[in-house]
Amino acid sequence: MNTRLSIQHPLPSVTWLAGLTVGVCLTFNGAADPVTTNAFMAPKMREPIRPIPLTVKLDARKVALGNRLFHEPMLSKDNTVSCATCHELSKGGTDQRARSVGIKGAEGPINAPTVFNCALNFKQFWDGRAETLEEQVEGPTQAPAEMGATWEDMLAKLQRSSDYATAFKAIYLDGVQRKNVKDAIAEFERSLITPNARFDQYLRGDDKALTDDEKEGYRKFKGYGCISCHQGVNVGGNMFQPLGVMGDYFGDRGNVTKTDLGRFNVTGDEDDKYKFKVASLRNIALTGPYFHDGSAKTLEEAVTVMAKYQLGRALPPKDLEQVVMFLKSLTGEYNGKLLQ
Amino acid sequence: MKKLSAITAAVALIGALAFLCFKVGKFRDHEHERFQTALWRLKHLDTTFKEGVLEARFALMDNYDDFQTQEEELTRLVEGLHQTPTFIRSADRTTIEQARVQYAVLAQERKKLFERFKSQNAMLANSRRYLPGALDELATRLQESSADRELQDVVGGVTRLTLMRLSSPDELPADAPARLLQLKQWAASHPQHLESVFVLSVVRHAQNIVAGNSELDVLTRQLLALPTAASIEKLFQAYETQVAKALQQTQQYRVFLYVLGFVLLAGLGYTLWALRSANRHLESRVRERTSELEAEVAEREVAEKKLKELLRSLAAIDAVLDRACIIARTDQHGTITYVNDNLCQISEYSCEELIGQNHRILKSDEHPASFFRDLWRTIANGEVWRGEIKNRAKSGRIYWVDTTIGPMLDGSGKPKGYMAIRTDITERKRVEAEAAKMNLQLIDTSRKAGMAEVATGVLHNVGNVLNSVNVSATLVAEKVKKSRCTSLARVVTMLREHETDLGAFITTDPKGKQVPAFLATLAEYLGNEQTTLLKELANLQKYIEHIKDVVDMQQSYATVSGVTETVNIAELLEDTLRMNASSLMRHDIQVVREFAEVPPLTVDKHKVLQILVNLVRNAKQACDESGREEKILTLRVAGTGEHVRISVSDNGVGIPPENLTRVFNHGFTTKKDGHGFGLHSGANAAKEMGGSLSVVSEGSGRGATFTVELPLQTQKKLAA
Repeated sequence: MNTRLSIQHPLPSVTWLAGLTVGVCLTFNGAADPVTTNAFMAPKMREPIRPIPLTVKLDARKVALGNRLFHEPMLSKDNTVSCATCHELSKGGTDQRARSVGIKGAEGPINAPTVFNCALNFKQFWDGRAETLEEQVEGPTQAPAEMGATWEDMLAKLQRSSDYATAFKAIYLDGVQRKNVKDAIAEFERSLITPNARFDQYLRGDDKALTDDEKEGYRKFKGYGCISCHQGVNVGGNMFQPLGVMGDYFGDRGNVTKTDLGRFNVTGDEDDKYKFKVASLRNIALTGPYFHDGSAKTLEEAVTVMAKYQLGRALPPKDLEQVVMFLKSLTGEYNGKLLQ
Repeated sequence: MKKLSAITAAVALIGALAFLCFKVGKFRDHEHERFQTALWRLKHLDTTFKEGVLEARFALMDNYDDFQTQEEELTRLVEGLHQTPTFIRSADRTTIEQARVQYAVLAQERKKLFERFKSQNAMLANSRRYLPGALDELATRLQESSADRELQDVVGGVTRLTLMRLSSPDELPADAPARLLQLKQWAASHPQHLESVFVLSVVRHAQNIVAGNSELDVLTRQLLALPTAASIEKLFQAYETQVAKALQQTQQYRVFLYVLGFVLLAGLGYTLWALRSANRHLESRVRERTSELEAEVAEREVAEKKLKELLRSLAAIDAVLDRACIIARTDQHGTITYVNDNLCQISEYSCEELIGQNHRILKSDEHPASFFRDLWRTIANGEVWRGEIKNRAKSGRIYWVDTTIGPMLDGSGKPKGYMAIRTDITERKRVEAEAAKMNLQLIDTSRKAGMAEVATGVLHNVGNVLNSVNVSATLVAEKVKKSRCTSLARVVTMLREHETDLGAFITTDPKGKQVPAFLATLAEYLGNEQTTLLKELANLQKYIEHIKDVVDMQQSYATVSGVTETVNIAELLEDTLRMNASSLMRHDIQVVREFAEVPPLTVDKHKVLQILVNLVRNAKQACDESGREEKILTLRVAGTGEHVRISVSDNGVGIPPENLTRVFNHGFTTKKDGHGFGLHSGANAAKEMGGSLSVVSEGSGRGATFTVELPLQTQKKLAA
């Protein structure tokens, strides 16, 4: 009997539940002021910046192998330089040098960008010449001034190492292969995301995650128009822009090199001259010196240069300070630990 | 043949079935679904992209991450479109490929345009975000400094303009460029002014909005005008067309498959039925065949037994032959492949020396080339050749072999080799040569003996006739001596005495008166006497003439030999009788002649006469020996068409049967003084003339008949 009764009366209870839910929702919508409402973690879905997902689905074995390879000096010609040499994970994924130093002390032509969150960039390299991470691996490993290796030598070395040969064989049927090396490294790089920055926490609804100055910095960041380019999940990294919209950056700096032509070197399109990939501002506090030429030593300097050449004015000191404070809130966590 | 074609048909059917199954199964839904979904998704992405562009253009979208996500998906999709479903024939893929390539080109172009769009749009957004605040700030500052009233107006105008522009991007007030220029000019004319840099930056951002907007509009239009949707539609259509085609084909193949399936089913039914009936037929055939086979096996066993026996006897024959004969085998060119010991022995060569050599090695060069040509022609034709061959041994010694050469035939009846079986006849040849020599001597001897016999006969006859001559001469002498001629002389004397008175005397005288009567008597007497003498002289003359004949005859027989002449058989027989006439007469033998009319014979007269004389004398002697009162010798001549048969029969002692076969042997005789080659040489002579001599006797004391048969044909031939 009881059973039958309970079957006979499910509808009213469902209706009641639904009604309650709608009521609650309406109540909160009515008090829709996310800044002041701290009790609920209401995510800020309409912001131009999106939080980094907390987890990504990856092949752990490939990540592990990629990690080893990333730190493997054997990948360079003289076994002195690894990927990590210029992309130290403990230094914000960079070498913190204006220009990187490759094998035999050779200085590269360009500043090494951070390897953190590189998977979130729409293309790789300052000039975007690599569409994918796999493609990107080809660059530094083979560049004479960087790791200076050849695939033939590199693969032979890996093959000779029984450790690597076994590790590759365990994942890839065909063992040590050029494509497999690239695949493993790329997979590892995809794992190098830094979620849960304070700003992301703020975006996810935690208003307390940011100070008022930082929030004000974010507001000014948007108000000065920086957000037009530095948007999206990576706060940049999804378009090209000319360096020096409102001023002659290269004229002022002088000593223009081929590298300074940027995207033009890839497309040959006159329109692409001096265009560079808009840099990601994630972990920006840790990835100096700044710009492709590493010319800005500090974040303040970088923001000042950006304001001068991209906006055509100098920022008031307070604004500058607050914007920098906001930028510093973009430092995230790697493997659950805040980057330093 | 039938089996083969059946297998071929089965293979063809199975092949067709497999082919149709393959064709029908080729249309794979999941492939179609994947491709079609990709196309749908592409279409969707295209629309989403266009929406996104418009949203971004009108600042409804504030980040570009979604574009990136879509771009990545699009790249994956286009990549996936490379794998055209396998059920579309490669020839038909071209249109799809072309459309895909076309789309890929457009997508690439769009990507390029979109990068520019992003830059431009971001830059514009920057100005748009920045300008309201900047203008506000500028206005505040200008108010604070309360500098230039005119400038404040200008800034106010720009602010309005900007706001208007921001709210309605399509309409640009006509005075916008003028106002901006005014502001710019102010900044240029007041370079020392505190806000000149700021004003310039504002101007540039405003200009950026004015110019950038139109530039962005161009880009936006270009982006939206890119016929990507049409291109996808084209790709879609191309794909749909091919799918429809593939479907139609599949449908067709399915129908074929059903038809084939039905045919196979029918075939299977028929086959089962046929198998059953074939099985029944086969079983009966097996039974029949089994009994046949049993009979065959039995027959074969018997045959095998016979064959084994045959082989055994052949082996025995072979062994015997090997021992008895000289045996050689050659191949078809005459190269020796086998010799037995006998050959080695007689030829004085060793086996090793002979084998491999041509058979010519044994040739003696004593036969003409034609001899061997004939031999080879015979055996090469597969026939057996037999003859006597003179061969030469290693030492040069000549030996004779009786040779039989037979070909050993291969399956097609051609000689693949030859086998020669020989016997050594050297000794026989020698004996034969001697015998021949002896025979010649014998013939000579018999001829001489015959001649002697004839001569004896002649002398005998001449002697007899001479006796008659002597008797006749004595008779004539006595008659003449006793003649009455003296009485006549006395009459004559008396008459002379009465010569004067002769008349008177005859008339008167008593004595005279008797003279005329006496003379008449004397005349009669003398006349008789003369008749007798004349008769006797005639006899004498006849005897002498006979002697002359006999001598002549003997002379002619003795001298002429081997010369044929045409003779009358009857005359020849008469001559024979004449030559024996005296002895026949002496022994009082009656001669009966039964001569039929036969054409004259052309023969060696002497030989025939010799035979006949011999036969007549034998007959005479046989009669004589029998001591019979009535001795009869019968001579018969008869023609048989081809032959003339001359028979000499007697009713004398006859010949006992055991001797009948021997009478013609050399040296056989029953006479005390016989030498035994009369009949032998007679028989030989008859044979030489192509005839024969034969004897018939009913036994001892019952007479004998010798018959000489001589051919008429030979005469004709000779005559011809």
